[in-house]
Amino acid sequence: MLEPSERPDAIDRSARRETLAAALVATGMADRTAFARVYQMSAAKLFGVCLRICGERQAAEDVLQEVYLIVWRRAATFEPQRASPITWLATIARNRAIDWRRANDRPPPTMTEEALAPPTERADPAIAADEAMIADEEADRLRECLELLGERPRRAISTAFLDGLTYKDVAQREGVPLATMKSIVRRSLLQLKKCMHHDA
Amino acid sequence: MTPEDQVDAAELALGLLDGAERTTAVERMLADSEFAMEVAWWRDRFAALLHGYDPVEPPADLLARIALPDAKPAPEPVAVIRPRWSWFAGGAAAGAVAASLVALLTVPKAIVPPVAPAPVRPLVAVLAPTEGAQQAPVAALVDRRDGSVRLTATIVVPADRVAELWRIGGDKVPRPLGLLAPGAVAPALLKNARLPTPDEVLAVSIEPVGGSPTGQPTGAVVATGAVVDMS
Repeated sequence: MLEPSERPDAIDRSARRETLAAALVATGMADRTAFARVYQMSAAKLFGVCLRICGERQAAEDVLQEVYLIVWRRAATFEPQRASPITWLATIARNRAIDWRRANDRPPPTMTEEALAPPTERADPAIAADEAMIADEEADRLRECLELLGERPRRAISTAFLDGLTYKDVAQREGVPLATMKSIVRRSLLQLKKCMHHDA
Repeated sequence: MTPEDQVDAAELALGLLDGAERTTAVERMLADSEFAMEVAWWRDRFAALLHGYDPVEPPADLLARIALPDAKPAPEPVAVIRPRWSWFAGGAAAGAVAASLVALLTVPKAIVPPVAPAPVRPLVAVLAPTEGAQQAPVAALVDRRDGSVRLTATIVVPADRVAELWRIGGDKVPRPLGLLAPGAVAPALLKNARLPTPDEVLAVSIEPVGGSPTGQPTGAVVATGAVVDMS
C-alpha cells in the first residue's frame, strides 16, 4: 500500500495546487497568460460558488466576471505560503456573491437536494480535482468536528456558509422558531470550538 | 474571551447575523481586537467548507468577456493628437475630437453588477512575523470611517527605535502610514489620507525615533500581511 501522500491522485492534486499558486503569483505581476490559466483552473469552482449563492445564472455570470477583475487586481497580495490558492479565490467569489445578493435584496437560494443529503452520502473519493485542492489537515479537522454534531446543527452550519444564510433564513428553512435555531446553532458552535481545540 | 464571546465571533464569521445584530458585532470587532482575532480564526476554519461547492462550467465565452484594465499607466493620446488637428479644427473642437479619439482608445469597462457600499466594514490584515523576527502575529484593523488603525498586540521594538506602518500596493513601493506608539494597542490615526485597500499589503518596520528618515523602510521589516475586507 502506498502512503496517502504517494498516491497518484494526491500527487496530481499537489501539482495542480502548485501550478495554480504559481499562475496566481504571476498574475500578480500583470501576466495575462497566467491570468487566463488561473481562470481555466478555477472558473468552474468559482462559478459553482456564484451560482449557488446568487441563485440566478445571469447574476452569477456577472458576479463571476467581477470576481476575476478583483483577482486580477488583488493577485499581488496572494501569499502562497499562507493560503491555498483555490481557497483564496473561492473566498473572493463567495464574498462577492453574498454582497450581490444583499445589495439587490434577493432571497436566499432554495434548498438543494445536496443540502438535504447527509454529507457522508456524497461520493467523497470522486471529488473534483479543484475541490480536492482545498483538502488539508485543518479542513479535515473541521469536517470531523462537524460530523460529531447532530444532523440539524451540522446542516444549519454548512448551509449557512454555502448558501450565505442568516439565522432568519436558516430558521425558515428548517421550520423552527428563530430563537430555537439560534440556541441550537450557538450550542453547536461552542461544541465545534472545543472539538477544534482538542488537539490543536 | 469567554465561550459566549467565542460563539459571538463564530456567528459573525459564518455570516449568520444581519441588521442591528450584525452592526453591533462589527462595531465590537473594531473596538475589541481580541474579538477580531477570534473572528479571523473562525473565518479561516470555515474556509474548509468551500469544499462543499460543486463546480459548474461557466459559459465558454466568459473569459473573453472579462475586460482587464490596462496594466500600463493610462496612455496620453491627447498630447500626441492635438498638434495634428488643432490647425484645422481650432481649440475647443480639437479638444472634442481628441476626446472622442480617447474614448475609442479607452478599454471599455466591464459591466459589473452594482454592489452596495458598506463603509462600516473594517479592513483587516493579519501581520505575520517575518523570518527571524521576535514578534507574535498581530492583526491590524482599519476603521474606514475615521482612518484609525488598531493592532491586536504590541510590536516588539528596541529601546531607541519605533515601529512604523507601511502600505504596499501593486507597484510594490512602500508608503508610510504612520508611527505606532510604543507599547500601545490603542488606535493610531493614519496620517496618510488614502486608506489601505484590500489590494494591498501592510508591513511594519523598525525605524529610528521619529520614523524612517528616507520615506522608505530603513530598518528590519518585522511583520507583513495582506489587507482583507471583513465581510
